[in-house]
Amino acid sequence: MTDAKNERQIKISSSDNEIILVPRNVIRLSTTINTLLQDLGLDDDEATNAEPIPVQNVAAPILRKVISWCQYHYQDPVPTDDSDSREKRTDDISSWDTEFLKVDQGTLFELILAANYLDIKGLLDVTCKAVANMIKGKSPEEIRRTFNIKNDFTPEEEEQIRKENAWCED
Amino acid sequence: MPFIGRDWRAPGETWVRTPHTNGWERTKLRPVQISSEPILIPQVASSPTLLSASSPKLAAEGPSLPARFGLYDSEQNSSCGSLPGSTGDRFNSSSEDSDSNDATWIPHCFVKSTSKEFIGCTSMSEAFHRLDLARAVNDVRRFNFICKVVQILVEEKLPNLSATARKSLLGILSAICFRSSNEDVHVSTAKDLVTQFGNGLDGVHICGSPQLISRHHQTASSLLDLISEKNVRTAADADDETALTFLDLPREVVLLILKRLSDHNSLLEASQVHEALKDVIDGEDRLWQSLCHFHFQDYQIKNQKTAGKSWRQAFFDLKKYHGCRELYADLIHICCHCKALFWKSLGHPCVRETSAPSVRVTPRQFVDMLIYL
Repeated sequence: MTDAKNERQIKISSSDNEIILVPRNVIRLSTTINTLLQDLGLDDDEATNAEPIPVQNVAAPILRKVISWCQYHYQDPVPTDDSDSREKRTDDISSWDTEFLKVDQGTLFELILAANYLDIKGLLDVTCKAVANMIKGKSPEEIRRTFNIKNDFTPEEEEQIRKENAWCED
Repeated sequence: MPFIGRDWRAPGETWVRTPHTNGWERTKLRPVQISSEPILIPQVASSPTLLSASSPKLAAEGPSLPARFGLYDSEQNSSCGSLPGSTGDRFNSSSEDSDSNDATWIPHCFVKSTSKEFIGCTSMSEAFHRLDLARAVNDVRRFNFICKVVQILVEEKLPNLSATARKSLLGILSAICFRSSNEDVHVSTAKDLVTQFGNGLDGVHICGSPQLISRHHQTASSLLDLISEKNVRTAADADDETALTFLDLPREVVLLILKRLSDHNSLLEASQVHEALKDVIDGEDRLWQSLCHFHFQDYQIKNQKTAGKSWRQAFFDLKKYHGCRELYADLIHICCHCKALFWKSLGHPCVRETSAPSVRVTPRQFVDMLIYL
């Protein structure tokens, strides 16, 4: 990527029609938008795109948060080790991300959906880890309380599952 | 050439009053609680100055606390006021300037050596202080390591601990409980640890006076109350009807989240939460497959995974033969040059700076090291 392109801005519009300008190499983290720009040949043009790229599924507040994450992380080196072991290291969250993820549950889930839709691997990874951390080290009842889930099992079913799980263990 | 550390002189023999132990301590054991965010330990009043803490719940949430800490700060200041030189300066730091103090201070601790010019760490509680374990609990990267250390201690080593070491351990336990209840994470883990600690106190060979033991008992039970009762934050979340909830997430996303659980227990507990989750966990053998690949080597898997066997079954078979892998984002290392224990991510002051090789210390090795100190 040349230096000229570093300064290039891309216009994207949120689901509530707010237009946001993002540097080209920041939005590169979103595979969805990156591929779109490449496939449509928009990268040939040095100027800012006249028509904003619609991001239909993401509202402006979330989109801004997503972009602030990208802005902090766009220079990160691409991780090399195999993804299977890295994705389970749920305690491996940088302190910046820890602060970033101090949001209410609704926002956290919105961020996951946005990251999933825009295909931003790093953000999806870290947000999923945050939710996984809410599950770890808890009893089913505590997990239900955390996520405000109603118990839809009858006592008999619960007993049944416990038996199945105990059977796994031996 | 004799070994010369960066600062080979003793930092002095000043004594200061510390809020967390309810007593006096040597300043060179940098008190954990000199920080802008003191970790409060619910404690039963044993001295007149601590009367306000007689109800642990009050201690945990009462607005009277800043005042209490203010009291200690001023005491600290006055006790250090007449001290000459740098030691006095360092400990004049009350809550306002402790941040700048923190910036230069890296938690580390030297293991005991034969050299006389060199102050090694002499007790478990000192090591806990110097490595800043109680505050490190709030760091997600170090939490698991500390939990494991605490788990080993409360399960097996309580009779081996001195009363002071047990006091420090209780400090760490409190920090774990506060984090669990404030951030709503690892609630069961924290509960188990405290329960184990309480049960361990009933053993025959426990150090300390009966009064001390009963005080520790009370602290443990008030910590249990603290984690059991509350869940204010999630209740507030529930008020917002329009917000997304966990079960609104599409199945593929739930699967991504569940794939990040690194142990079978979390998966099994999660499957008991709700039918939808049970469906995903029972239906997606991929979850168990990735768990297998995380914990075991390919050749181990090849031996156990036969054609007819599900990955779930294969996982439990593999676990039986090989045991699970333990990984920590951050853990304690020991420097091969100056024999300092330190957190890998934070480093330590060493004459050889960054070039010195270091070796990782597993929780069990760490405990063994401190027990036989």
